[in-house]
Amino acid sequence: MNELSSSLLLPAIVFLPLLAAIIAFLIGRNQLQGRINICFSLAQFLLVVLTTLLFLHEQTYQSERYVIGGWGAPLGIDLIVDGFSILMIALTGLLTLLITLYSASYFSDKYSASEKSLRFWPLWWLLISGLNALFMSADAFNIYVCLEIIGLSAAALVALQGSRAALEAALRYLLVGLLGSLFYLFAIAILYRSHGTLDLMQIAETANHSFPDKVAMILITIGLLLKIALFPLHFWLPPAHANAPTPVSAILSALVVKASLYILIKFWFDVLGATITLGASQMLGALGGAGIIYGSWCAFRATQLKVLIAYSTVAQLGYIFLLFPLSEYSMGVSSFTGSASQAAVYFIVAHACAKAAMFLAAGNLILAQGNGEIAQLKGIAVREPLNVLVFAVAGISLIGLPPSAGFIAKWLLLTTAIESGQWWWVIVVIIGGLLGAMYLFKVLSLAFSTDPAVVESPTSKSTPQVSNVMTTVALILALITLALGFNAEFILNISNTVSEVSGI
Amino acid sequence: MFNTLNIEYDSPAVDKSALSLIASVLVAGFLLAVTITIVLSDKGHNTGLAPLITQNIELSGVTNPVTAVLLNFRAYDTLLEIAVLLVVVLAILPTRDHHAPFFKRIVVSKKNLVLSALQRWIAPAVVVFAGYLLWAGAHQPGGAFQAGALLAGASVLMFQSDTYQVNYTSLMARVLLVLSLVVFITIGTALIYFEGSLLTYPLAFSGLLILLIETCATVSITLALASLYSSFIVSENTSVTDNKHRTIK
Amino acid sequence: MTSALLYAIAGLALFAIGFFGVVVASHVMRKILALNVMGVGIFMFLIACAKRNPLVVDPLPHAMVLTGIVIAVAGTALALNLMVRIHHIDQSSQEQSK
Repeated sequence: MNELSSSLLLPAIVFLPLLAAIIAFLIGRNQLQGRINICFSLAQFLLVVLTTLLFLHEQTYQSERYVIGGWGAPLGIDLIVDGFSILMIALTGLLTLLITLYSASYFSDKYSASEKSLRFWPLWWLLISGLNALFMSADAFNIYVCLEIIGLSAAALVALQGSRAALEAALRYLLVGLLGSLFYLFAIAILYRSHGTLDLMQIAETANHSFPDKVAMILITIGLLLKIALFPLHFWLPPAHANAPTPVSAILSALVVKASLYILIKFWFDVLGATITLGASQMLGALGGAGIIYGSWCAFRATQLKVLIAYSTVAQLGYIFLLFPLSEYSMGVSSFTGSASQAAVYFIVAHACAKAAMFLAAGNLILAQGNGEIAQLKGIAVREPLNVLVFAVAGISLIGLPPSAGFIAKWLLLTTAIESGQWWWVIVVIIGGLLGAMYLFKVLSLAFSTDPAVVESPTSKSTPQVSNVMTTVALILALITLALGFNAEFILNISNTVSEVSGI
Repeated sequence: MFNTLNIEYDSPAVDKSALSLIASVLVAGFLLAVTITIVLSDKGHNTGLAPLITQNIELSGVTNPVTAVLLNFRAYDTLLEIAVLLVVVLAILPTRDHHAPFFKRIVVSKKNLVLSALQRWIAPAVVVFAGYLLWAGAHQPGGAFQAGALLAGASVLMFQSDTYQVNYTSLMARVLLVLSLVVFITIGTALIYFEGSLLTYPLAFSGLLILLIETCATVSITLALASLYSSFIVSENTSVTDNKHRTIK
Repeated sequence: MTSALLYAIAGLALFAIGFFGVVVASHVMRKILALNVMGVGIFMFLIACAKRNPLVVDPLPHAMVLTGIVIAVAGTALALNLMVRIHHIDQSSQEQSK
């Protein structure tokens, strides 16, 4: 405990990206720009690995606090890490490293996007810093500030393309995000009024079945569902994720929606666990189920590659929401323990890696092809075999075929559903898998069909060659997805620590 | 409800889809009724953290409780909040004009009498008052944000007019924009070395350090707010000249 | 009924009015303004919370409001900027079509 909580590590994980943002802003456009940012991402990754190893080394799997300013909980702000947040921070560190490598080439002079790098890098690092700060915050109002850093920088990154569609998607994303945060802030005001503290643990100690707590929980749920884009509130997600530059799409789908989900899980199971009812969790599950079917169907009907992947995110988020009805419900309190939470944690990790890989591969295919029409992808496997391979591997994980991380996650979900006797979720999961197979094989069959006329079309000659770095990064992510499938115990061990910690 | 984002000048005020209207009336009414009942029914926590803050105010280095909360007890929040402001500045600032000077004076033939009088009489007074607000923040209502907002108003008056111009994308402006965040992070992490924890001010220097951070924050906030304002003005001006250009062609 | 309670209810009413505006208004500018009204409602509620006990003023909600105002300014500025940029794109495409 003492090693981690007294060390520099926790604040450094937040401050290093901030420093990177400041330096990226000051140096402006420069030949060294890409290299400096890669150095920062390596340093960030090392920090995260060190923190994770220290946490695992402690072996106690308790939540650990870092007291800022020496004041302590109700007066000051504390940082807190437990198994779940360590896992999210580690995931952020890994994806930051890989996507930074990808972006360094994506925003290099070779491609048309290079002049946007000036704005991209500082915003990118601020986004990472906001994510890290969010995952280790123990203070309700501090979480609001972190949510705003994430929401504003994500919207600004979506607007980076500058086209009308991108600007409109960014504006819609921003307005929805602001609305969601305002609901959250309102709930915090009510919680502070009735509990007299902003520290999550202390709120949890005094939380009960009272009316204000229930209203606060409802407001938090509505606000965060808006930001997560669960089924009826998903309308902003496909345009925002489809119109962003490729590295931004990857991080938005992989981590930014998960950040709000992390907060929701924290409030739902840890902080205000006393207020939730069986009906409410069944309703969230039903919305998730509807999201699976609807998202998969829209993905099947999409004509643009990135829109297809964005709708697939809507569907995959639905799977994670099955956590809420499937989690153990005893004595009127449901807790983030047992196989349902393991399935959800595994799903979050598997989806983050697979979806990031898929977006990066799709970005490469679009660069090679010149536009994002699915119909234009005919025969692309001949020219870009590696990227199509990455797309296929990521797709296999999203459908849930063995051997992949997605398979393990779905397997855990199905066994939990059968064990708890809620067989209807099994049907939803199976239909979702079939629809997923439909939309992904639609793309793959087009990519593998050989049509000499298309292969030798002159347009393909004029488009730039995809750099090796960008393909390699996507490949590494796909391999990680596969490796997670073979090596399930690693994640499950960390998520076990989650279940022990979150009893509070 | 966000599916159509309308930006026409003379568009209808209300979304035509009546379904969302009725639904929202019901939701808003329900929300209002529920929350009012909470307010009326709940006794809750009567004093919040007030007693704890009063106990510790001696240790914070300032006597104004709000400043103590903002810059000592919950300084981490304030640091991240400055980062939020920086996010928006980064998103909005134009990316060109790196090599133009930070500050330049334009010679104009036509003088605006009201504007120059305002610049001469109001702006210095505002600057003095902002300095007072910054200083007063330690023991009375006031502080970096109020002072920064006032100064931003003064700089809009001075520099967005015809006579003077500030280039917010020059290196100097960028340094000043990130100044407060750099100082905040430097002091915060340096204190880990000296005091053992992030942002733990030593008692003897806490007042001084808070004043230093607040002064830098005032500069950065002034520049951030003024640059946000200028981004709207600049885009207006360029569009106007573009239009003229087109008509001449 | 104390005056603090009255302010709290007024804050809640502002929140509801703002939410109504966000949903019903069609113009982006109105939506942004409505979001600001919602924010002001929350701030007012917080200020009223600070004065629940007539003898003690709680400074923490005041600090939360100050932080919240800066964040609201930032969000509003970004939204307005995006709106203006969309407007410029529309204008120039209209001129080109003429």
